[in-house]
Amino acid sequence: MLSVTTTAISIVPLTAATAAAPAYGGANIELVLGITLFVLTGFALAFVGLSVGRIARPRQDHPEKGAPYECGEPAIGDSWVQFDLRFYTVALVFIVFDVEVALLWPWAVVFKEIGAPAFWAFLVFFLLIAIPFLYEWKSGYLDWVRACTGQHRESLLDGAGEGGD
Amino acid sequence: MNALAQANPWSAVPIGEHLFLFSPLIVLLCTMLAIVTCPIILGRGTRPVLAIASLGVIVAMIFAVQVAGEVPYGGTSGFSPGQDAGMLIADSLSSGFQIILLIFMSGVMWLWWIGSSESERNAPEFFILLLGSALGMLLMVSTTNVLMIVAGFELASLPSYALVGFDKRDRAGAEASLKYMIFGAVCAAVMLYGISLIYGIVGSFSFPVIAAYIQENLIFSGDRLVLIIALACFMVGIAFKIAAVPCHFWCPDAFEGAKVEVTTWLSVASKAAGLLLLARLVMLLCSAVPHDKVMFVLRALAWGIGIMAAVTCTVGNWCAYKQTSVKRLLAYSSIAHAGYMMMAAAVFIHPGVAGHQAGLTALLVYVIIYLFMNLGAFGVTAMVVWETGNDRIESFTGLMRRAPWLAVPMVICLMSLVGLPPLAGFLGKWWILLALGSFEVVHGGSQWYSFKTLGWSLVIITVLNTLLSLYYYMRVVVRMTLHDDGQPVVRASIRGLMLVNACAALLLVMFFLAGPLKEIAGRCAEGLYNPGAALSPATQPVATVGGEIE
Repeated sequence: MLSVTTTAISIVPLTAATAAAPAYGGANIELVLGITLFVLTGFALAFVGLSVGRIARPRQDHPEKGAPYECGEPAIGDSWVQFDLRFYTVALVFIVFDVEVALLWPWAVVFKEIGAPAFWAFLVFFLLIAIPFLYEWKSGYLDWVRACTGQHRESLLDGAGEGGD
Repeated sequence: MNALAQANPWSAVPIGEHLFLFSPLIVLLCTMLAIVTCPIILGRGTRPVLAIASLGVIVAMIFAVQVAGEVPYGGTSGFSPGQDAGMLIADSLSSGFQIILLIFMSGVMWLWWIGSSESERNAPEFFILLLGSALGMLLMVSTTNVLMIVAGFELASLPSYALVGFDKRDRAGAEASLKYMIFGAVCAAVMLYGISLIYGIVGSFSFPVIAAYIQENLIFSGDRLVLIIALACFMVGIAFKIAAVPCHFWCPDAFEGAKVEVTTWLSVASKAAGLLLLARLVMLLCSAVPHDKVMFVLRALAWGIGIMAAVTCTVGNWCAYKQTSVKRLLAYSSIAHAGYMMMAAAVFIHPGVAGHQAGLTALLVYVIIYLFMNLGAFGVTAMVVWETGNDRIESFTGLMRRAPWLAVPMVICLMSLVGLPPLAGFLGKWWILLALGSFEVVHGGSQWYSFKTLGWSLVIITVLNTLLSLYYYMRVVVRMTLHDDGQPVVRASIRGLMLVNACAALLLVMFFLAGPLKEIAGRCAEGLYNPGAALSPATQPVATVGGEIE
């Protein structure tokens, strides 16, 4: 938990004072302020993200979207169904960002100690992630309807607007 | 640690000197990135990709030669996160392997250019995977840190699985790829299990530390059994890479299903990386163990590796007997050759520098020669496969009439694989036999389990195996020369003929350049058996580099 707070605070301009404080805990008003700011920022980020998405995204209603458990396959019934191969695109995107976030975490913990080299090191790493992501995007591996061809693809695209089957 | 490391605990952050030592790796990585950007900017054409990849390999090779001149002779350099040994190290062995692998990769790319560049629509992906597996193999050989070994191992393996099944519409390739991947995943899992045990006992990922721990604790400690199991599990991963016998099952299927270029790549690169990694680890283990105190540990290790090698080459040769597919035949032949090369690894355990020197030099010479033998043999197979559509042994019937410029190099490469005297393959085998025989000279002993017994048993097994192998290589030669069923002439491109004939010519020339060849190999090997460097790679390295900064 200690590392959580130090990392979070280093973002807001209270860093110097907090770092100079002899111990955490007790009546350290700046620390409390830092945690409060951290929590508030967290909430604000989630709220802003969701509301901007609500305003910006096109609205396409679909009965599936109202289902209590949405996983891309019928939730009730036999489990021996042929699983949609296209879920690999989800897996691809997940891998890209999950790996990045997983490695961002230890980096953030030691960032203050190492300083500028850490920044550049991560920039290189970010480049290594970003360029292949651009490649996936450009090559169309992220399109959901890519796997179908010709007429089938067109009918799927038409059907998407009408609310599907 | 030294002054630099104490002044700056974050010596893990690379500086210019360090980056230069690892510049071939960095160049390969940048080439991969450039190829990834290629479809984004230039479109999915084959030409730009091939140009970028060739440029990258050439630049990497120039840097590798430069680095080979700079690394301390017989020593190690590297940088580490303030621990006991370098996370990445550069020594004469890693530089030598970089040059060997890059030469081989240009051969494989040349083969791809002839055979697949016109029909292949996924050139960027192919080269990213090829360069990625090369990078992984180079990392495997330039580290003593177990964690880094695993990273390199996976970086080498994952692209290889994809390369084997690269043509999505080819059912045999897909099946081979799946088999290869499942087998590889299981072996990697066993290896990781062994590493977790090692880390649990020793508390370090650094192999020199692990070796030192074994030196102090193996005899009286209660967790001796666990440590032995852990090392055996670790060995499974390496055996998978070498395709040594209990872990060789992926090899024939993957070789048969994959495209010929990929088969060529896997047959040499993967084995060489695994063998050199094994050499490095065995050397570290030996140099840490005081010889008088724990002779039986060394003996057990030598016998373990020796028996594994003997079984590997015997199984490889027996299974090659009945093969009707030439790719499969060469796959089993490559298993047999892995066995011969592993025998050299059994010699390293030999106490004293003489044994290390003989064994390592023989291994490196064998790897260099094996590269050209396999490139030539698979090159001819590729040309026949492209023309006739299959790699049955019948497709080679009458090749001497149908394409003499393919048949002659094939005969030379096959005879060199047997190890017949006027060809370079003989040198590799001869020096391994000499090294095995030298067990007697340096360390005699009359017990049945002495090094001498092991050495001479391996000599006998090698000679018998060579006789066995003569039959199935000869079968192909006889088909090509003495039989003829009137099949049409094989038209091979001039580029292909250049490649295979150059390989065959090199095999002839190298036999007469035995002295320089041995000297080069000995120079590469020096980095490993130099006593000071092997015991504590970290002390010399950072000091060497640090001295220049101050």
